[in-house]
Amino acid sequence: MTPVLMAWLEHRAQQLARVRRVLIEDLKVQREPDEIDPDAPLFGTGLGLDSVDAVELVVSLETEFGFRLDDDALARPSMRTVNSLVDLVMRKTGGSHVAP
Amino acid sequence: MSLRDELRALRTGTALCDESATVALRLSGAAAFATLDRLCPIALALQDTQLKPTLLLCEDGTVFADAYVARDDEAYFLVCEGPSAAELEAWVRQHATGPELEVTRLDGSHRWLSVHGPFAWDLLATCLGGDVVGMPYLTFLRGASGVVCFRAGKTGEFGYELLVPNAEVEALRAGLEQHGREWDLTRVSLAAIDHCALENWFFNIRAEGKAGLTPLELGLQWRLTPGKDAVGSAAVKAHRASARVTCLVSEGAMSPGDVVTHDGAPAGKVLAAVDSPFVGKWVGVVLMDLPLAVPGVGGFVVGGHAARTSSPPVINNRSLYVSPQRHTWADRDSSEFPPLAL
Repeated sequence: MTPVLMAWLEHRAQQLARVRRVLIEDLKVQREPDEIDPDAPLFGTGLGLDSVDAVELVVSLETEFGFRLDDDALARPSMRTVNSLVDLVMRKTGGSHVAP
Repeated sequence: MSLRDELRALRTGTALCDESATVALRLSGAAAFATLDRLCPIALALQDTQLKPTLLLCEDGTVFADAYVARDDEAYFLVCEGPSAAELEAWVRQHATGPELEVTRLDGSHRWLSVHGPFAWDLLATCLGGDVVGMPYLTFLRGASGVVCFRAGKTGEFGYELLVPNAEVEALRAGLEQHGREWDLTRVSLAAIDHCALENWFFNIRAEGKAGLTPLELGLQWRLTPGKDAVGSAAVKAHRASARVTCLVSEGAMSPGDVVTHDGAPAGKVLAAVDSPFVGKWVGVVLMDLPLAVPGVGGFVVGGHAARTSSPPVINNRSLYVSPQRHTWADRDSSEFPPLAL
């Protein structure tokens, strides 16, 4: 594993930790961070969020990461799993969701 | 009918499947809830007609069944894939918490039909009534003539599993096919359903579920309630996973059992894979070593082809954009729907 890849993985792991913290502290998901599977669905099954939570999630992400989430074409597929949210965060915060 | 045609119907129209690997029991009596509560590692706070997805675990924490529990007034449906009806009945009786438990196998008296697709609700409303349109996900509807309609598909599109009394099967299927002409209803196979399930990252106990893994490796901790004591939950809690199922996308073919390498070293093994016509690539479920079980990583090789991990699902499901309040079948080719490939 190259140092560049290791650094990207470390950065992504940090963003995953922040997203999990948002889910636990703001969305009141009753789990420990490592009990939130990265590919778990956010809505319906999975973490069981609902449409009211969706609004809260957008506001919390905008506050936590300092970006605006106003592009619906990007937002809807990104709001499906924890990992897809992290991909969104990576793109919106000036990085890439794809490792170099 | 080619698999590609079946997939197109599932992803963009309406599809009928009369193959099923699903078995169902009905549990009633004073010990029904306590028995299910002992078997299911998820909290079973259910309202009437509500479903909850969970797993039935073996004592060693591996998966015995992919399950839904549904509350039917004071009784429960236990709907599973994995074991046969006889194996499931024996499993329930083995773990019964008391003698006041009535277990009814439904495999002899009922058959499963299922209807899928972004416009499945539109077709089903003509056959089962308009209440189908308003059904929330993970609920069921008691229809006429004893038909029970579960809204719980595994394709990422609208999906309805119909538990049909044997005497009603032919009439319902004929009705669906007659009305379905208007919706271009297509008969699809269980293989097509499984293909869509993989693209949408639904657990398949007949694929990756055969690998003897726990919910930790399978990414299914959300099917367990933390701290709940049930069969197998202690083993899961004590277990430490060193790998996790990860979505791998490749231009070339991959097959179950293929070794995945990274920088020339083994990094994982393919558990299931499909050639996705909408993505234009192969999509695989890979048991990947934890350090590399992360989406967005390139440099993998499988079957001699380059591959990259990705965040599933790999399909931008049409059903996310179809609203029963705003759309009808006439809108199926509307340009407002985005492409299926992400």
